[in-house]
Amino acid sequence: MTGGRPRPPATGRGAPAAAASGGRVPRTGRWLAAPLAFWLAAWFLLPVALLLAESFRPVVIGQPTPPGLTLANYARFLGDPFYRGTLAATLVLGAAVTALALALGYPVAYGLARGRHRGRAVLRLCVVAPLLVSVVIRTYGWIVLLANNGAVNQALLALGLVDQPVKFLFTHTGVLIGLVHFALPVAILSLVGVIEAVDRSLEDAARGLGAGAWRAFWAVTFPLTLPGVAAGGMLIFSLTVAAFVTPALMGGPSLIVLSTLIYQQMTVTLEWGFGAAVATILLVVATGLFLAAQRGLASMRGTGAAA
Amino acid sequence: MERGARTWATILTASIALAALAGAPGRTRPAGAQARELVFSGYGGDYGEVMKKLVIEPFERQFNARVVYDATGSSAQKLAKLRATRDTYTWDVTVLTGYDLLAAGREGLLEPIGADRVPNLPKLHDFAQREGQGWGPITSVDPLVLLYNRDRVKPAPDSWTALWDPKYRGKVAVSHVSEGKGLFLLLVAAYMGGGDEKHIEPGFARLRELVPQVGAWLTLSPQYVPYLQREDVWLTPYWNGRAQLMIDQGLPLGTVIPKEGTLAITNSFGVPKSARQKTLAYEFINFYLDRTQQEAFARKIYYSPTNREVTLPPEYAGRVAVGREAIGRLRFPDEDYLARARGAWVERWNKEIYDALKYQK
Repeated sequence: MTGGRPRPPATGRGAPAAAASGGRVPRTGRWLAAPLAFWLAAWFLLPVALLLAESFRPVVIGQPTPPGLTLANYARFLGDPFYRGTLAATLVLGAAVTALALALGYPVAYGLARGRHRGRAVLRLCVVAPLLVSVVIRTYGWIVLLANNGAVNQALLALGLVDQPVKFLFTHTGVLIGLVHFALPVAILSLVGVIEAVDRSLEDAARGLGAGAWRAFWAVTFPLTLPGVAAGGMLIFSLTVAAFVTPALMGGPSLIVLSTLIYQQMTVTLEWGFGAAVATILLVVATGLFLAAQRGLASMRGTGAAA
Repeated sequence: MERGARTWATILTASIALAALAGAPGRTRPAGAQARELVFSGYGGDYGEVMKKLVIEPFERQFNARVVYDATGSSAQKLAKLRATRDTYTWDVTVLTGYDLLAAGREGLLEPIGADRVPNLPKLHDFAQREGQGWGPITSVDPLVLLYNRDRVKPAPDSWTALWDPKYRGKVAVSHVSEGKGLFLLLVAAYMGGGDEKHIEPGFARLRELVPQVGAWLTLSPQYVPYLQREDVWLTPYWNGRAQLMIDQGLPLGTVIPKEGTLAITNSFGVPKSARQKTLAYEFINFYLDRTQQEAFARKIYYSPTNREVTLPPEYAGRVAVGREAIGRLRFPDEDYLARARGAWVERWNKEIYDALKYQK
């Protein structure tokens, strides 16, 4: 899923998909996948199946689930403009975070992959460091920084840039800041691998043929990294649309995302059928977008190989 | 909590999945041959610490028993777990808030508890015997108070209307209706407007008016602490017990039960039908209802005890509601009705507060 995969061998018979899913995996290789397969079956496929089943169960408040199957949970969500709005808000937020994290992460990743300076190891550590801290703690850190009396607002007021504290918390901006920070290490790590995999001699060749550094980057290196950028983007997008902590702590009632709704239904109102339906809708939409992106990616690789 | 795409679905379905998979085999604990073992499901944090020290340790000595403490989850999550596991053993005694106790009882998940099983029951205030409807005693209550910053809010407020005072615009914190504090604020607002839980309209009307005042939309109680510490929030409805603990920690805060009155949340103990040590469970509940434990608990956690015999020294005046008169002024909502109406209110709150915020801009 992450970057860093070697480019398909030049001798490949024009089937780009063969690089990803193994057509010729040796038998022992399959057995090596058995633990993962078991893990997935027990802790992902089975729960998802249970979730799916639950989403067709009727809900009667204050009573155990009655027997029978129903589509009412889906109708309640899809028939209500408010809930459709939360779905749209979730996807828009995911797209915005993905775009920002990739745009901000790319230069850093390029520096890490191509730089020759000594401090690279330290820089890498700095990139990874946030991942070592729980997302709850990181979110609280942002709350302390971005509050009305927080460090950021105090600095802005002291510099005279604003005369009223800027409202970051409980706005879209605050959630966006928190989530981009959450996604950046993921973006940078996947992009470093992608950029490192691009043969440096191609750039040298471009320079040798008279292109400036800038042109060599845009005409040669950047297009070659695009499939990796897209793969990293898919990863970030799927993490972001499922994010719960940051929207819950920094978002407030003006930004309700699907994970918040699911939490409310599962743990507070105990309308499991509805919660399961919302979760299924999120899963289906996210998986659909994922598959669509993967197809786009495959065709991108195809043309890349042909060129 | 934000991990791979694989894990998130697992987390979302955790209540269902864990119950189905981990619940069945292998969860048995070694049955102690000598000391009887009781699994108690309580809350974490300060509550857990005090519970262990003041109740569980003396109980273990006196009854030659061992108590395993399960501190996971809120009351609603404990109810969810009871529901999902049903006939499978989970705990011998569990804390539940009043409305969750009633829901569990109605669904046939609990043993009925009368004075034959818990002899201390008649020593409780009448409401504490009555509100559990036979599924368990009300063991303590905790009123919703108005918590304010003593340095910033002057004179000290005596009415809920202070929340709507334009002087405090942007300095009010409000909890979502899916949390108890938000739910009770909605009810207080409804009462102020002449409604009640069955006529909730005035409550929502007042909350819409409150939206411009709100500077922080919070949910869980611990979330409030940094906002109160940094004085981003000056005024908020909050649980009395936790508020007093913050005051003990030296925050410049005060609490008041406003003149319009307030509501209190009820804590109770229930014994699941699937419990293994039922006799010991009743003994444990009875022990907790003794005057000694009730008083010790009130001194440490500031929950109002429901045992009529408990008295507290004068320095606790204004910090814990004790005794018939003080407790008589608290209002207890129709919890049966709340359990049924809450889902619809959560949906309505999501939509109306969202709209109110949109038009504010």
